[in-house]
Amino acid sequence: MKLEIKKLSKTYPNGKQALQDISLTIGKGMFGLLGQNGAGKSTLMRTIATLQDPDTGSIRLGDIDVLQQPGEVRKILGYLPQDFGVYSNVSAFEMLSHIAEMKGIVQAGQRTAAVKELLERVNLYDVRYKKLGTYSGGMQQRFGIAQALLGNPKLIIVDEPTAGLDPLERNRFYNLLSEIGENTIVILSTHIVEDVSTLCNDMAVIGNGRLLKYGKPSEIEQSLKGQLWEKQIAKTDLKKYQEQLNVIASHFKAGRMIITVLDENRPHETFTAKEPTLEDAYFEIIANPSLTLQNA
Amino acid sequence: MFSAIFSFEVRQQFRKPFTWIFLLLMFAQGIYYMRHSGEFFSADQTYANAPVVMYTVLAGIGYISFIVTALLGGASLTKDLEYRTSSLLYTTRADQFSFFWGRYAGSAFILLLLNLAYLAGIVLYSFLPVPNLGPLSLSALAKGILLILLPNTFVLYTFCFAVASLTRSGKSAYLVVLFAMLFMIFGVSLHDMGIHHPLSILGDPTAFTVLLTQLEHLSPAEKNAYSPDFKGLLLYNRIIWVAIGVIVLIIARIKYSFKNFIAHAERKTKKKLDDAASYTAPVFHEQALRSTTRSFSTGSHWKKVGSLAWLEFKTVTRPTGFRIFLVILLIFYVCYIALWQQQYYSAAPTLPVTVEVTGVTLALSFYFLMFIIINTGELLFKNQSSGFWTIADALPLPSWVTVLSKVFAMTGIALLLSAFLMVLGITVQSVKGYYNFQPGIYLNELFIRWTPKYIVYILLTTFIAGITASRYTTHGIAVIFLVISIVLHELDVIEQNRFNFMFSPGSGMNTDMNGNGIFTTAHAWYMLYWLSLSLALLAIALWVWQRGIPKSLFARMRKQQKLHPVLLLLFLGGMTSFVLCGNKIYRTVNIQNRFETNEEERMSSVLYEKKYKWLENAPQPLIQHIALDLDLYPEKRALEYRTVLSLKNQSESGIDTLHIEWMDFSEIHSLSASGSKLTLLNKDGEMRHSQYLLEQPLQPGDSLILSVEGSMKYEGFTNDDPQKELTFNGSFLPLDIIPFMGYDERRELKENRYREIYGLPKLAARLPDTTDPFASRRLFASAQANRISYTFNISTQADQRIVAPGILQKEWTENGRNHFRFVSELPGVFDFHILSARYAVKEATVNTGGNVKKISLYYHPGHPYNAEHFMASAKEALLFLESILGPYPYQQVCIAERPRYDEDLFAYENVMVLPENHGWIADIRRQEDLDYLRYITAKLMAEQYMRRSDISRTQGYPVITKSIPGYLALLQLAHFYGEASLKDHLIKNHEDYLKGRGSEKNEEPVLIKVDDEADYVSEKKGAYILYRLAQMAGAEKVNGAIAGFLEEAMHSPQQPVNAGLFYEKLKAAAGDEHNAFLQSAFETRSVYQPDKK
Repeated sequence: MKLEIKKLSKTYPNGKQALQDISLTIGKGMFGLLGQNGAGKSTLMRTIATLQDPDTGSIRLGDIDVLQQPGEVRKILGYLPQDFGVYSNVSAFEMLSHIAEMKGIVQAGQRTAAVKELLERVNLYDVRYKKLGTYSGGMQQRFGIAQALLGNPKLIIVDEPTAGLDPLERNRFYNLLSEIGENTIVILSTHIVEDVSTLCNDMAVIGNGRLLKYGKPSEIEQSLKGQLWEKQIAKTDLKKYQEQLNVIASHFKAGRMIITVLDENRPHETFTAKEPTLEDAYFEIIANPSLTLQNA
Repeated sequence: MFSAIFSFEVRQQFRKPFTWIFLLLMFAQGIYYMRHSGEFFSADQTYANAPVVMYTVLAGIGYISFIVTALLGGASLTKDLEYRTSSLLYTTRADQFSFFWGRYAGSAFILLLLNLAYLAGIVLYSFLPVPNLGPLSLSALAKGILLILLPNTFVLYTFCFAVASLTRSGKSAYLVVLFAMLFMIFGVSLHDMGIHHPLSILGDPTAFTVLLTQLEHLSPAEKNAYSPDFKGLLLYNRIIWVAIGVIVLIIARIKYSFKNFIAHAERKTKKKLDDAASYTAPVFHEQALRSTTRSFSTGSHWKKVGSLAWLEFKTVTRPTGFRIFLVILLIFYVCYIALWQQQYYSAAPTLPVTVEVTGVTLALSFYFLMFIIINTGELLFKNQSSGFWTIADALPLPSWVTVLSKVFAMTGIALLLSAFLMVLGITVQSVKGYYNFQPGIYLNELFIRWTPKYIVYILLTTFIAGITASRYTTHGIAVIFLVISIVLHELDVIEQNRFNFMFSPGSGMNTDMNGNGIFTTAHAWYMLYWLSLSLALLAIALWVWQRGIPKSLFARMRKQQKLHPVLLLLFLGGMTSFVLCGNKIYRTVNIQNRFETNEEERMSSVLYEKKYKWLENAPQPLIQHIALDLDLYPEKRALEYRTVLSLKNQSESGIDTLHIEWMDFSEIHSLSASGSKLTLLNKDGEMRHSQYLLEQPLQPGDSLILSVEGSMKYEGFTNDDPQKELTFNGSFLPLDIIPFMGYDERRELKENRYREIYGLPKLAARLPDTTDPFASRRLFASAQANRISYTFNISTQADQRIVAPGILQKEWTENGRNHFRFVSELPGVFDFHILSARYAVKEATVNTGGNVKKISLYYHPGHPYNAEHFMASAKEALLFLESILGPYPYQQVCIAERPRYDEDLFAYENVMVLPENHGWIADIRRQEDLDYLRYITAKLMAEQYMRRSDISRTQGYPVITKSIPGYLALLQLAHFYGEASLKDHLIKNHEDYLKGRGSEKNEEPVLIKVDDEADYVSEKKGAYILYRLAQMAGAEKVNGAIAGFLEEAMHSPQQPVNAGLFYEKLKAAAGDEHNAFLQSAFETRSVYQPDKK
């Protein structure tokens, strides 16, 4: 089963073009969607998750026309939105049972077992009878993860899922997700490049509503091989370098600034060659969106 | 810094939709309360926008203002805790002083603005097409704002603000307003119960009770020019509450510090579960997640509706806000049933019978419906407001399942509300020592009458939510719709229930004797009608229900394009049922039961007068004897009759045409005259008037036997008329069933205001002058007979009894029906009723100076409470009146109960009839509360005496039939309780007089020319004047004049006498020194003041 997105466009009433002619094919496994805030990730996610209609374009999931048959998609969908709320005066167990029922798990025994299992997996079992209003941000996020995984979804969309999670919980979640991802389409929207590089076998970068890059993380990463150079500079010189060279990123290491430059040739002997990372590729795509190829 | 905080607060409030919605609501409330208060005072010819109305509206504040004050005052400081902005804001350069006062002033400014909208509503009311508007008094408005509105706003807001700040909880502001409301209700309730304790008056922080105390005895003119003096209780009330407000505010300021608030916020955060607390070592799972079977069948969806409804029900009922809201409503309810209950003549309370307790639901229905609307709106948008929609809307659950589960959850809330009302009602009854709970009435009133109304409003709110897809717009539209619908109903702009959503006939017309009568069926049809419409609207709501990112209605419609077949079916089914029910209602109410709007009723009266006024003085034969065979079928609300009338031409000219009229819903099947052929000349079905030509003119002094057969039947139901003449239990059939001969002046339009509009001459008086040659020869009771004799054979269904005047000669059962034969004991006047009901009977005899009189009591078996006291009161009245007026003219006194469809008391021949709420359910466990029973029995019995006099149907006759009996009843009370204890009665009497003056449609008649439409003059003023004269000149003189008049009026005249004779006798008996008093009282419109000593 594949998710095929064709020529998807959406313009908001205020004139903002949230999606511009996006086409993607996503197969089983983890698919990473990278992009800056406001790039259109959430709009794309919501559109796939049937919460929003595009102006033009189509989405198919196997035999299902997502835009025309939202009810069918919802039956196999697990969705963790970026922002969500809960009924504050209901317990996690109650709420999750409620969602399980809405997801069609009508058999009470099965429902309870599934809910308990997921509560254990997301580490909320001990507090399952506490009101959701008393949950901390991280706990609410884990609750959100649990509800998305309920009912054996075939398509999982997780929008910034690790926000608010501590590193341990983040790992735990990714373990869970990659476990599931083997037989499922999992779309992971994030702005953390490392997550995509470690978890996803396919990815796309979007910016300003357009698809900037699409391919396997390793290929995207390697596309810059031999073209990246770095140098430690004085902070005050950054402007000068930016004017002269194609500086795609700058970061600090032990309090000193290091810039990364994209160039087919070494700009100067003071520059050292750099093994490209996905982050470099991402920065390059963001820095030069117009030059970017659609496919790696 | 202060200005930065203040202006930010104001700007931020302006951006909230809540502010604008409440602005609208406050405006609507201003108009609604003016109307409401104007109605309250309308009884006294006070302008609909008189200063008294404005003052009470300003002091009454209104429930919406209370809520707004709590919202603004409560959240002003505490919102930083709620939104967790305290740590951001408290670490800026803002100092505590500026912060406290900036926030205080900012929210206060918004509150003042909202109050300005309330004022705008009040002012606008003076420019609406409302009857009886006076000039808008700007000075009253200004003074009201200064003395009432501003101090009230300050006090309530400051309390809310300060208490919320001290407790660091916005919710505590709701408790503050709750208590303020309770103090106010308490003061008003005590006032209504006649307890004017300074503490209860000063304890009302709104000063509403102070105003009530000042207003109660004002004349209409004084009310129209009312301007409260800023002294006494009003001054103290204002000073006390403003001072307390200032003190509380200072304390709050002293106690306020950023540190306190932050500390509180931290304590609150600690209540959140700690991540670490739930931390366990990571578990790595080898296995995949367990697989589950899933079902998306329609059956499983319906199951989900049930389980989701239960979850939603719990989420609605769990929050504290809901509970506070519910508790406030329930406290209102308890206050109403516990404190505000009907009192009639005196201070004797009414027993908390279930009909009275459940009747309170009508008074509070506006608030219950608001409660339903707001909770429905909140629940429907709960996913949006909680943010859960991003998950919920992507779940494989059709929208209809979600929406229906919420509708069912709210239905559960409506049932819960009704169940609470029932439990509280029963609790209050028990606390008052009343244990006849009648669960059937609770079930009927709370669950069958009111719950469906809540449900149609739940569905309407769902429809609005579906269309608007916006929480606040839904609240706003639904609440404004409710307010407008109720106002239009109260203003009589929408008279027909079928045009006003949710309305059904019979609210507040539940009676113990007749239950809901015809309104049970009516209510069922109307509810089916509104429910059908609501379901059709629900189909539309489901069709365009918002899912996912908000879209315009048009976009949603375009996306859905066509209705799902089931929704289409629901819509078409609902609309079809709505149309069919509407048609059934229209045919039943408008066609079958000939509903007329007020305007149409007036038009018919005008038409009748224009067409037949020429007959006014045309001679018609008078009835001398009636033989009536009457078969009543209460279960079918039908009757058949055969009557033989002995007629005589008592005029000086021959009569060649009989003008026959008949009662509405009755038919004359045959009409024949012995010895003279009748030829129908003309039949005017619309006006119910026929003309028959007599073969031989009936010459003066000649007699004629007229035989009539006819029937009457009510069918179906009406818009609001209980058709009390013929009911399932407690029929009260007037003698009008016997065809009327001639022109019936009772059918004329009496209100000069409308007469002028329709081109009729204004009435100078509503009764003919005593010198009118035609009228002065007719007895007061009717134009178609003087004294008559009669024989009645009446049958009714097996479980009912008949009560009729005269001697019950025989009663028997035949063919499963009860038969009764009554014959007249003395020649009576042509004006009485026949009753049929399931009665319990109690009988006793009393020996009065050698004469044995029988007293029979016919009462509803469910009202046995005061039977013994009624008997005792009747005995006392008998003994007392015989001592003044001579022997009681009849062998037997009957006292009968009838359903409470109006407040009218009747006395005719030997029968007195009282509605079920008059005396039958009075709580007379205290001896002194017996006074009402004594008063009414003495008064009605005295009326029976006075109806023995032959007085003409001319101006002033009610002095004899009403004033004298009223006076004698007062005298009897003074006899039992002493003059001092009569004070309350006289004050109440005076209030009723003032109210009567206010509702006078034309011009107040002077006492000596009083007519039968001005009971407030004859019964209230007249009775008091005679009583006062008795105090001044001696009761024996007044009594002597009455006895002398009665003697003369009963025995001497060739021609009836009039009130003038009594007046002369009274003047003669009282002596010259009281002439001036009598002249002023009888011949001028002087407003009497009771002697308060």
